[in-house]
Amino acid sequence: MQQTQFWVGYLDQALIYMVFVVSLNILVGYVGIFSVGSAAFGLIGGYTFAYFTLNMGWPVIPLLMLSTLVGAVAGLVVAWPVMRLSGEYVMLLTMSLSILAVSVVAAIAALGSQQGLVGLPLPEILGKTLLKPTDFVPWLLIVTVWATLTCWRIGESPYGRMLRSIRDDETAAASLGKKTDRAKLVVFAVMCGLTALAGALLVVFNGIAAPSLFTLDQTMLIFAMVIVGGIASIPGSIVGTLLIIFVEPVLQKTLHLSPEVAALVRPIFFGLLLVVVMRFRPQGLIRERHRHVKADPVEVAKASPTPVQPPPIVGDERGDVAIEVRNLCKSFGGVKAADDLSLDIPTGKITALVGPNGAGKSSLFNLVTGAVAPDSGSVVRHGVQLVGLRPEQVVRHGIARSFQDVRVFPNLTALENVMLAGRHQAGESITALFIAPGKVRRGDREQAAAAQRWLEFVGLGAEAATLAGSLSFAQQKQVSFARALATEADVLLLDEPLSGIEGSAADEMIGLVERMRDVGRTVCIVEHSIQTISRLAEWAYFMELGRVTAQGTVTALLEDPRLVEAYFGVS
Amino acid sequence: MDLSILPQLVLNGLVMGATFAVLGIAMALILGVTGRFHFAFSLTYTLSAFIAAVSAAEWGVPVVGALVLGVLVGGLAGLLIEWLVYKPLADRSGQAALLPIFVSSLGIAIAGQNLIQLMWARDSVSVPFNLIELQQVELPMGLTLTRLEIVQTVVMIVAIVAGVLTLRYTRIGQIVRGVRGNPMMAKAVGIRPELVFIAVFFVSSAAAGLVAIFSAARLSAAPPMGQDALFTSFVVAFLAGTRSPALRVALVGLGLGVVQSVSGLWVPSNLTNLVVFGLLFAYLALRGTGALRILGVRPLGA
Amino acid sequence: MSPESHPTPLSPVALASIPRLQVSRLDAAYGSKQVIFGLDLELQPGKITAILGHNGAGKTTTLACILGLMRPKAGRVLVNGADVTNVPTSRRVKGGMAFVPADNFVFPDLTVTENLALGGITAGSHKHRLERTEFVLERWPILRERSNQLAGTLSGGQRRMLSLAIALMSDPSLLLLDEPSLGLAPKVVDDLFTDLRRLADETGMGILLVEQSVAKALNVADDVVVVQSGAVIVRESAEQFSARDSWWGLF
Repeated sequence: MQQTQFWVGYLDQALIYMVFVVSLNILVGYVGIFSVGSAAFGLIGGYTFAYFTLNMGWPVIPLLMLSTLVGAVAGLVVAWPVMRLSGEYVMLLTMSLSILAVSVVAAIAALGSQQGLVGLPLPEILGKTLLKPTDFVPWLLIVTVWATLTCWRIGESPYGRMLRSIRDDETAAASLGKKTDRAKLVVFAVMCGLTALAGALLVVFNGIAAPSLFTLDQTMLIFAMVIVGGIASIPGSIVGTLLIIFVEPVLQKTLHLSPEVAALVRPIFFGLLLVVVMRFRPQGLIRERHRHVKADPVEVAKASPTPVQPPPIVGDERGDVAIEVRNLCKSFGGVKAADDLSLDIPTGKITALVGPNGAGKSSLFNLVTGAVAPDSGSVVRHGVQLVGLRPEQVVRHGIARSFQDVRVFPNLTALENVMLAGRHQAGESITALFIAPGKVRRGDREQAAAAQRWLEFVGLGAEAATLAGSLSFAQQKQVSFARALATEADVLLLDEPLSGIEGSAADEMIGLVERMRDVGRTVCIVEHSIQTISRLAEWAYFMELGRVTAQGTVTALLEDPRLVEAYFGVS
Repeated sequence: MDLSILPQLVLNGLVMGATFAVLGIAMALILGVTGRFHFAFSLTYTLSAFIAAVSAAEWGVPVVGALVLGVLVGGLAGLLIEWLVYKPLADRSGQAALLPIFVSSLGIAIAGQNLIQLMWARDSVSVPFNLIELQQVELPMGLTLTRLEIVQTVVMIVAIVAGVLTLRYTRIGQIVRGVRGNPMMAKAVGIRPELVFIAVFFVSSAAAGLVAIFSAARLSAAPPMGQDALFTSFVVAFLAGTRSPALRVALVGLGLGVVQSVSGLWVPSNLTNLVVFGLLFAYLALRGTGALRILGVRPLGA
Repeated sequence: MSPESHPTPLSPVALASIPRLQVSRLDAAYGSKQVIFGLDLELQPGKITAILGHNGAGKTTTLACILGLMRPKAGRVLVNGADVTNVPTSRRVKGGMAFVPADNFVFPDLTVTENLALGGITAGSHKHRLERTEFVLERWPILRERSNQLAGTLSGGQRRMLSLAIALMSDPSLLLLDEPSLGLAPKVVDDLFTDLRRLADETGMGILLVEQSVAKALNVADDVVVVQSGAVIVRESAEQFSARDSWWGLF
């Protein structure tokens, strides 16, 4: 029986660590936040549990819930700086947090200083005292399975799809109206809560809450399990955890290493494993794999026969001017991207912005959509001032854009790319995910049908199930247009829609832009190819060095000798 | 609060700060020139200390020779990490290699630290290194320092001066500063940045190793010793700016040493090194909230 | 024109007849996206060729392949007859190539003197380096005045001059410039291009420049190559190009 208890003890450890690992994987793998702070939040949960057990004598299960809650709140507090930093800095920040947390706790007498809080009473659940490792197994199993399923639901749902889009390209996700900041904040807090829960479990199992349980080494261990097991793969996390935990007892038994030596060999093993994995198999043992959405043909047929009608405008009449830009100014260092720039984008027409490089054409798109804040000036749409709004808010005012470098989400299918653009999705609320799964599922089906319709509109219906990363450049452009259309925004800003496209594909693209206008959208394009512009645009603005220096029909502009000078330079 | 000990605290702070200066310059060079987040800095640091201590205690190497050996091995370890681990990752993925490099660096640090413990610090917690006696020396104004501290400070100052002068006045210094300031132009004039990276890793790791060996002479070589040194070097490098002249980095290091030492007036002595972590945390948090821009500080890599 | 490399030194007559630069059937791609399609280019000694084209046409990518900053998918690059397609940038520079980037073209934290010293890193002996330094300071006296000033604090035009001086320190036989007129006042651009013409005429240097300002480029170039969407669509002399009615369709 000694043997059984020995091995089961490691199973218990593995179950506890699995909770650490799956919650970290959601952060690292699905959202792309490289947090190395498991120790800190585990410590918060563990000490909360120990303190209240010792001083209040509360029962186990409510205390576990309390620990989770405290961890989530702590996560909210830390989230703010974490959200704005990039990769390596998040790692450094969370790492120093881990070290600070342990050192601070080790210095507080009320928390037992270096020894920690000892002498915790044996845990009792439903009248049964937990003493031997085998006693813990069923309870740990319940908690671990619950935590894993929760993380699975978050990661492999429409919500998880949105998270992965934020991971792959946050700017593009924001340009589709996704509330990226809120999503990151919510997920970070929830995962910190789960980490705290795992910390509390560790304390329950070990019978003490000590600084030595929550060192940076422990965090690195958990991080290694995520990376080695497989980023964004929950099965990978399970395998990674089991592998790294069981190395120790296996080494003890097969190589007859003493426990102290085995405890040293394990980190050597996983440290080297990290290096090897990063070099030769960065995706980890089990590759990331997600189920992709398929549009149901019945639903697609049921969807509105003309889904392409623009939605009715509530409130203001559809005036003649879709966007009013007045006196916009923006400098980057010494360069004036916008120099007292004013223009009107007329409703329902195709307007072009032309001019030499550096004229500020793409910058204008950035300024209008809120990607860049102007130094001064105004952008007004239907009486509403857009300056100061964030990109996801601007989309809700009916302005969508495509990017010159396309920016599709390569790990999502064409269909899923377009589905993301849909507004008001139930699947984007984490509470709905758990409370109203039926509504989420229904909403997803409707989104899929609508998205399929948009893909067919742009001529890419057959490629709905292909990963966007595998499509050709021209096809990716079509996906990005379908995406922009699916936001149901009235105004479409297309940045160099024809760049990189040749021959018959170019003709089709031109036809597509015309079709967009024909169904009532307002289109504004930046395009360098004068020939394309003369075919498409009904009105053009000529820009130089951040201001509009001429406007009119394209033919008129082309005949202006001053424009030739501006475009090609003076000899 | 007994203010009469303030002068001694400041002196102690300067002595400590001199080591911080060397560490900061070493890390600032690595970060500024190569852009690698070299977490394994802690490993080469610890390795130098242990090679010196173990070679003197167990292999019969004379003490000064052990010091030289430790420095060289540390430098070599840094060089090999760049050549064999970081460079292949960077060649494969370009900009996207930052994270894999950091993760690999962490792996090396963890594996290495535990390997060192396994080999040399299993039964005893640490290995002493008897370089110079710890005899107190009386100084004017009632201040005292140990002999070791005096020698250490002299060595650190020599290292700092050597570093500053080399970077500013020699051809190799110009080349390093060129690669740091504009790697594209460096390639355009025929410099091979890969060779410069390897040289920077060698020299910085060797310099850090020198600091480690003196630390071992004071406190013995222990496996976790690299962690504090690593975070200190990051704090100094970030606060001073990784593209700053070496002299400025040195001054920031000295300042940090004094701040940490003087904080002992308010904070219990076993917590003063938290000042460093706290500063790093505050810097990163402020950077994340964009407050740094308001304060006019140019963040690393901006 | 023999495309094989010549390991033995050549007589001046032989040198004069080998093209400074030959690019043949260049294909380049970023990942799976191909951006250059079968590009050919030839530059004779003493000639200036301008590469024109809209933004994103592939001009800078072509330069990157010639320089060795990027590996082409297919095709060859020959400098002074030697095949350098798989040779690293540093060796190409030693082989007589020099490059002035479109922006960030000096070492900002170094003084003018130090900038020039780095330019002359491959120049060989100390004596040779001194000669080159004298040569460039003679041409641009303002740099001599400001030798101890940090390059990052010079004006735009002065930095441009410095960038050209840096390139000349290695006594190149092939000079590549990426958008040299960008952000400069017209007078400064004129002076710059006059310098380029003199260098080509006096030293037999081959000069390849990627240029935004078509009109300015035509003032100094002997030949013009227009690139559109990664392929050459026009290849003619500058005179012929100037004589065209309209350039609109090409950009």
